[in-house]
Amino acid sequence: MAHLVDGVLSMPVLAAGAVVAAAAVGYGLRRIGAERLPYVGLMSAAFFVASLVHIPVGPSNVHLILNGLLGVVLGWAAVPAIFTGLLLQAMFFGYGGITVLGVNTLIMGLPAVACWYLFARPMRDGEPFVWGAAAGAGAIVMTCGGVALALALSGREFLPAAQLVCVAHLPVVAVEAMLTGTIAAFLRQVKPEVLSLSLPMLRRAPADA
Amino acid sequence: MRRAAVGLLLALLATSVAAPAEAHRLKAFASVDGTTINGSAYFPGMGMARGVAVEVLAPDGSILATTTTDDEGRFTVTIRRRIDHRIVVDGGDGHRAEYLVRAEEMPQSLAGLPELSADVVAATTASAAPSPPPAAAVAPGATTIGPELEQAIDHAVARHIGPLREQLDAFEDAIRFRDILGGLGWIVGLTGIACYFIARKDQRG
Repeated sequence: MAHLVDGVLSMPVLAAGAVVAAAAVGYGLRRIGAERLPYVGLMSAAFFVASLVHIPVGPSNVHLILNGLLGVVLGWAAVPAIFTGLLLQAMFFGYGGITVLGVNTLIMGLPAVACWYLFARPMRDGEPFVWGAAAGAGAIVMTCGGVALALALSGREFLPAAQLVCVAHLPVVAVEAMLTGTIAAFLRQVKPEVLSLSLPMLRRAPADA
Repeated sequence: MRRAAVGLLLALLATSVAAPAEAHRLKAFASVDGTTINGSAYFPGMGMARGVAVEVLAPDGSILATTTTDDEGRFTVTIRRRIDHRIVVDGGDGHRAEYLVRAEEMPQSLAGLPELSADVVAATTASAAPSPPPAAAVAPGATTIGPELEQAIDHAVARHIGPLREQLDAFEDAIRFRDILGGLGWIVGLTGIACYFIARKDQRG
């Protein structure tokens, strides 16, 4: 599912994934400052452990990913956090694999970054639960699309794979929407500066504020 | 925030320990009983994989058989030749698992040489088998044991050992608490290393 395993994708997809992921991780690492580092570590740990929380769905079953939450809290720094989590999951749990590490990082990391661009600012300025929920759900949907796309690029049919993955992940979408929304609302109340640590386009005039 | 985050982490940890299962990881297992391979596909700790495609490949990569798992995640394949059978289970959604059934587990009455075409099944005389490794232990008595008895013993042993092997295989893949702690320890350590580098940069700048 979300973690593609060794031997499913074709060579060019793996290679391209590795190169792009390396660039994204490098860019994300440069965005980690001293004040944000503890959150990166904490979020990486949450991501690492979240994969063990399972939701049984019919014949298959799926687990939490939390990439929406990582995205809105960390921004680009979510990519190295997710990379670290994936690497350790591959080593300790046998999830995913080393050759697909790059592709998996992109599949889960890019939706996180997209959620940050889309939802981080409205989450600070607007209703945090609603936008947090949107981020939680949106990230999973994008991740499913990414899985299907990676499979399609490796010569499988896009639609059946996408359907299979998306249907299986509907419960995760619901759970992550609730979870991310709740955490976002909580953070806004208790520690609002966390949500402002990494807002996109900070230098632009706050015209929409 | 910190308390909340630690709370979240602990809650996740608690749920994950309460149900130490792997979700998305597909596993395949197979064992030989006579001239059939009995196999299963499952998500460790989370039940069987129903209706997934199963491909059986020869060492040279050619497809020996294809099937799908039944409602209990099980499948059977008939062995035609005494060669390594590579079982590939594919869920179609990025799940994939492999299991190798070795030729040594298969009855020696089957023709093994890959050069033979697939329909050459015959060779019922046990002496035609090129290598006798699994029977070596009973070699002294082998001359007095008829092929039927040998088959019956193979069958009985397979029936008793099969579940055990399956269990062992699943056990090996179970995620344990130490794995989780180990991973978290790595993250703490990496964060510490990053702290060091950031601090050094700050000192210089």
